Amino acid sequence: MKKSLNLFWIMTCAVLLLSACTEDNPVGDPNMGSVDATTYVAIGNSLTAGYQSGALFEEGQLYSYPNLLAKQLGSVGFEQPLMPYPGTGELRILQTLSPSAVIISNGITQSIPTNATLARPFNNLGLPGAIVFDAIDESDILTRAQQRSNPFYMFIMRDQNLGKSLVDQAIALNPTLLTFWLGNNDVLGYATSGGVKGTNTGVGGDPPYTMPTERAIFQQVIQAAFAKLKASLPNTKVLVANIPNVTSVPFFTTVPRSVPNPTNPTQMLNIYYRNKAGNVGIVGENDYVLLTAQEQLQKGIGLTPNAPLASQFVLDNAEVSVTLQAVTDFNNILQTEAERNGFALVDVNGLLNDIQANGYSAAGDEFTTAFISGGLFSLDGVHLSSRGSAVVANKFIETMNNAYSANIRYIPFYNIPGIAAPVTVGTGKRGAFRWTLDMQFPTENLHGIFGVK
Amino acid sequence: MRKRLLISAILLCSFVMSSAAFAGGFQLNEHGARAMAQAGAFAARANDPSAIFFNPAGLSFQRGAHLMAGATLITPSYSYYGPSNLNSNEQWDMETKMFYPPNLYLTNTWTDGMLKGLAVGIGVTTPYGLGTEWEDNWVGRAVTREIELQTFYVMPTVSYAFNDFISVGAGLNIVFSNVTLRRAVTNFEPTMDLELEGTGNTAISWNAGVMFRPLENVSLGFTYRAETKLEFEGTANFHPPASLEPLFPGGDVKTGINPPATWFAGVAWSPVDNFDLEFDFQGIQWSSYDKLTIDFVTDAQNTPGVKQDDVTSAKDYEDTWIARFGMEYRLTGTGLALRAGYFYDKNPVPDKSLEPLLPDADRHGLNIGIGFDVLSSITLDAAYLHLFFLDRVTEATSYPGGAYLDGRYTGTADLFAFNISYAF
Repeated sequence: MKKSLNLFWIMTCAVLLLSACTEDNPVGDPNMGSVDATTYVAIGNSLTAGYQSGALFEEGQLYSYPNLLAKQLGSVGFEQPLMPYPGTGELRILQTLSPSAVIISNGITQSIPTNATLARPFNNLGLPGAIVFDAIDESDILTRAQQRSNPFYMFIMRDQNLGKSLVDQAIALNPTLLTFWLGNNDVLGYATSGGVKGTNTGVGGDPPYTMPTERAIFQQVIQAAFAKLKASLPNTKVLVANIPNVTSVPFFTTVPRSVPNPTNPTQMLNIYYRNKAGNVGIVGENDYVLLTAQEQLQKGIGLTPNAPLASQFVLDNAEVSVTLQAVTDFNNILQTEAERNGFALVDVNGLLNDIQANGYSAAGDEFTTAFISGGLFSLDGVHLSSRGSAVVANKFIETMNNAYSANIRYIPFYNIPGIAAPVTVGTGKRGAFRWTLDMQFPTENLHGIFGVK
Repeated sequence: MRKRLLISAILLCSFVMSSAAFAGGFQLNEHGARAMAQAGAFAARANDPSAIFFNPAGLSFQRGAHLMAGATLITPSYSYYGPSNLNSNEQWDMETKMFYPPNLYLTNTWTDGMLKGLAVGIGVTTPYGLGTEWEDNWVGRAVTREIELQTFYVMPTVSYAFNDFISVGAGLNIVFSNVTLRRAVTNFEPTMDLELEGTGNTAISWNAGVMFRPLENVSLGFTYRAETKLEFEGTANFHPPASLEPLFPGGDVKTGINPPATWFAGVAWSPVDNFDLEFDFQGIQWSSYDKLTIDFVTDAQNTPGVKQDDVTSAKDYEDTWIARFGMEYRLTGTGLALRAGYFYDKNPVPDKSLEPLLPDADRHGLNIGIGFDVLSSITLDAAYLHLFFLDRVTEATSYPGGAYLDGRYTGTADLFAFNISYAF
C-alpha cells in the first residue's frame, strides 16, 4: 500500500513538472521598436482620405487606413476633415443583391467638414483626386479647385496659410511618422476613362491630358517631394506605398467580356467597342470592359457592330499595356527614391496581386478582389471598403515591424464592419434620404473625382 | 422497479443537456467511477457493470444481477491566445460550461444451473460527444461560436465464460445522436448567425471483447468497438437580414460524422489478494475522420441566385493512442477501496486542423477515487480526474481552406464521477 502510494506521488510530481513546461506564444509582446507615433501625418489621395462607395463621408473616413493606423499605434489627435453623412461625392447604396446587384445613389451631395475651422493642417492629408504633382504644387488652392472642378481642395487643404502644398502642410505638423501614398491617379485617370483622358503634361510628345503622367515628370516630382520631406523632417519615419496594378481592381474586372443573349441565355454575345483611333472591334481576352459600361450594355449599346461602346468604356489591349508600363515605371521610381532617402516601401501592389491570385483570409473571414462579394472594395469598384482599408493598414504595420524592429499588432477584422447589407428604398442608413433607383452599377463619371477634366 | 424507471427517465433527460469530449478528438472514456478512478485501465478486469463499455467479456465473470447508475461531471476551461497570423497574442477564454454525461447499466450473470457462465446486460453511455462555446463576438466567431455533438449509445450485451479462465462478450450499439453548430457569417454588416441543427439516423454499431485469466492473479483483456456511421439531417438558418434572405435561405442540410473504431488491450496483476494493478493501451482509429462536409439541399449549384454553398473542411485526424495505468487497494473488512491512476492521451488533431471547435492537445490525466460498500447490496463509487493539457501552438492553420486562426491553446479540466450500484 505504502509503495503504491509513493508511486502515486512520484507520478503526480512528474505530471506537475511536465505540465509546468508551457509553450510560448508564437508572437512576442507588443513593442513599437523605433516607431514614434506621437504625431502621425498621411499624405495621399482618395484612398488615404477614406473615400469609399463614391463619396467621402464620416462613416467611411473613420475606417480610412490612416485612421485605423493612428488608433492601432496609439497616436492621439489624429484629425481628419470629417464629412457628415452622406458626405461629398455621390454615395452608392446597395439596394438589393437578388436576383442581381442593384446599386443606387442619391445624386451628388456636398457637406462641410465638422472640424473645418481646425487651426492647423489635418493629419489626414488624403486629397481625393490628387495626382503626384499635388504633393509639391504651391499654386493657389482656390484656383486649382476651380480648374479641376474638385471641391476637396477647399475641404482638405483649405487655406494657403496652412501650407501651400500637401508636403508643406505635412511639414507644418512636424510629424514623427509620415506615410506617403500618391501616384495612383497618375495612372487611374487614364485607365478609368478607358484611355480617353489623362494626366500627362504634353512634354513627352503626346497631347496633354491623354496619357498617364510622363515617367520623367513623375520622377522629378517624387524626387522633389522626398528631398523636401527629408530636409525638413530628418528624423521622421517615412513610409512610401506603391501603386496597385489597376487590373486587380473590380472596376476593371467585373463586367464580363461577352454577355448572354437575353432571348437565348446559352448564347454568348460579343461586345463591340470603338477604339481610340475610331475603329470598331470586338472585346477580346486582353481588353477590360469597365464597370461604367454596365448601363450601356443594358440598353443594348455595345452588342452590335453598328452601336459599339464608346472608347471610354473599354480599356483595350493597347491601353492596358500603357497602363501596366506606367504602373511599373512609377513603382520603380517610388522604390528607388524611397531607398535613396531611407524611407520604407510598403508593397501594396504585391499585396493586391497576391490577393487577386489567392484571396486573403484571417480568423475565418475570406476576402477576394471580386466586386461586392469580395469584401475588400467598396461599391464604386475602385476604392477600398472598411475591411480593405484594414488589410492595407496591416501591410503598413507589417512594413513598420520589419523596418523599425517593431512588433505592432495587426488590426483584427472582427470589429471592422463588412459591406452594408442591402437596405430598402426609403430606409437609408439614417432614414432621412429617399433613394431613387437610377442605375444598375455606378455609371457616374468618376473622372471628375480623379481630378481629370 | 418504479424507482428504477424514474432514475432512468431522469438520466435520459439529463443526457439531452450534456455532452463533452474528454479524450482526444471528441471521445469520452469516463463511464463509471470505479474505472475512472483507475485511469480507465479496466479492460483486463471489467469487474463491475461498466464492463458493458470497457469489456463485455468481463460480465460473465461477475455474480448475480446488478444495477449501476451514475454520471460524470465535467468542467473544462480553455484559453486561446492569438491570432498569431494577425500578430496578436490576445487572450480569449472559452465560455464556462458544465457537462454531466450519465451512464446506466443493468446486468445479470448466471452462476449455476443450465445458464451457468452466461451473462446479459444493457447499458447506456455517451462514448462520443463534443461541446464548446465561445462568446458571440470573439475573434474566431467566423470559425465557430458553438458546437454541440451528442451521442447516446444503447448497448444490449451478452457474455459467456467457457470456464474460470476465458470468457467472451459482445454488444450491439444502437446509437442516437444530434448536432448543433453555430458560427458567424461576416460578409455583410450586420453579420449573420449561421445555425445548423441535425438529428442523426438511428445508427447500428457493435463492440466485442475477450478476457483471459491464465493465472489466479493475472488477467488479460482485449476489447474492440467498431466505427459508427452517423448521418445527420436537419435545418440551417443564417438569421439573415430581410434583404439577404433570397441569397441565404437556409433550409435542409445533411452532414455525416463517423465516431472512430477503438480498442483496449489490458493486463492486470494482483501481487496480493486485495491489491490490483492494471496497464492498458488504447488505440483509436481517428484517421476515419478525414473531412467534415455540410451539404445544403438548396445551394448555389442547383438554385440560381442562392449564395449558400456546400462546405467541406479537411480534418485529416491521425490514428492515436492512450496509455493507462491504474490500481485499486481494498481495505480488508471495511468495505472500503482506494484507487488511483494515471494516463497519457495523445491527441489525434494535426496542427493544420487545430481549431477552437475542438482545441485539442496531448494531456496527462491524474485520477483518484474511492469505493464503499454502504450495505452488502449497495456500493457507492466516486472518482476525481484532473486533466493537464499540454500547451498547444499551431502556426499551420493559414492555408487555403484553413481556419487562419493560428495561436496557442491552453486548457485544464476537472472531472468528478459518481456511481451507485445495487446488487439484487
